[in-house]
Amino acid sequence: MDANLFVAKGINVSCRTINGTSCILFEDKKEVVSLNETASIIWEMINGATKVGDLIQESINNFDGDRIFIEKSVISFLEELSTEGAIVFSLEKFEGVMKNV
Amino acid sequence: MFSEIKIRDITDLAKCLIVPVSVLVEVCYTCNEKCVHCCLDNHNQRGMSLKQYEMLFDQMVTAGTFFVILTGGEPFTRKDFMDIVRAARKRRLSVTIFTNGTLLSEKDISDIAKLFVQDVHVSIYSTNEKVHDSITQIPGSFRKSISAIRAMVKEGINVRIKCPLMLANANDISNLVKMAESLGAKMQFATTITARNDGDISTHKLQMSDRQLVKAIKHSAVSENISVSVRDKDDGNSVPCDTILNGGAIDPRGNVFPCNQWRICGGNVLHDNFGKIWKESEVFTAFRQIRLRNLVKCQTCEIFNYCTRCPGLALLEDNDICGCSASAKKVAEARMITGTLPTQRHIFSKI
Repeated sequence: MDANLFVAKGINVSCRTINGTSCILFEDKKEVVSLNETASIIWEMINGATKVGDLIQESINNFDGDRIFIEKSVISFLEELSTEGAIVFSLEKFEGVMKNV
Repeated sequence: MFSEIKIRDITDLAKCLIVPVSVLVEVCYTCNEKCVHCCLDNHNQRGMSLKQYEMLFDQMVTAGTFFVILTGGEPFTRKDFMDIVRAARKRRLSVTIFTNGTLLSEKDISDIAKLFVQDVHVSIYSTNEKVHDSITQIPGSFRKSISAIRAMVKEGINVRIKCPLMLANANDISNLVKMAESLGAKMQFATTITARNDGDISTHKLQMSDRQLVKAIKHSAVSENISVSVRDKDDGNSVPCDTILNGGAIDPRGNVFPCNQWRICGGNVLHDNFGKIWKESEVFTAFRQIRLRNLVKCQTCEIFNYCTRCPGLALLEDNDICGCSASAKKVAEARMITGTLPTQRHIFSKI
């Protein structure tokens, strides 16, 4: 995964953090998932202005554990989110999810 | 790192934490229709400014709101209504819109689809154009609403047709179900015509006859057939309605209520933070103490298991938040006759 890509939450998702747990609703699929504590923290960092590399670095700074393991975990999580359509990548900073609407 | 859950899990969590997870926002009371049964007592309020709604949505996000229902009046009488929708979606609120559909432009429909609005609910009162238009009191309204439904379904938008049943349309249930199917929309009926927000019960004369009500309740499209009651009369600790714990409603002036039928104001978002009002309002705190054990008449009522009593309506129509709701009782009696248990889990639910 290219560390220089900006990452944003997809236009199709609604989300809210309740009591530290992030819940994501896929509006197109009508499915809801909840994230565990670590995933919730990463999810909150995804704002369209943060690069993949920044997310990895922030996670390394925030979480205890082996550097390589954390990096692999973040990438795996981002890939999973991307597969589900919950995030999108771009070479440019996202101005906002509703940019073209 | 993630696991599948149900929306019900979120609303239950919110109930325990007193988080206003699902909030109804009335963005105006202005309307281009004049529905005979409308619960609004005036159609003058134009709503807060876009900037004020943006601020409100920020406060709602902080308070934990996930779902927002945007309604009116007719919300599309506001020229900036789609900007309000956009502001809500930008904050990742899951949006449902209640509308009559008659004012939607092609661009509005396209934007609703692009913004992934969860659902659009459109009021249709009959399959008969004349009956529908006589209820809205606007000739041509049926055709416009149906045309909007077709266009939205074509765009992939989830449309739900909503129909409050009354004397004039009670015999049209099966046709409405077929029409909704043919349009690619879901169908939802309501069996109660409520008083207006100021307590005026003149709308009650529009309610279905007892015979129509029994017939309607028997219809599978009106009442889901379940065999076990979802409520427990012996659980004195159950709450009369979840909405005081995980709901909320805001009128066009910014007044905050437990729900749009429970018209006791806890504060105003133009003067105070929404989350603070929700958590700290003295009147809401007092309402949260009410339990089934405080509803003396309900505890000894033979038709308790069939009743979908709304505390707001009990207060509005019968002047007693802990007393019997005549509207609910009428429906419960029809349910008992037909042996049809209600499915509404937010009423008399466990805490």
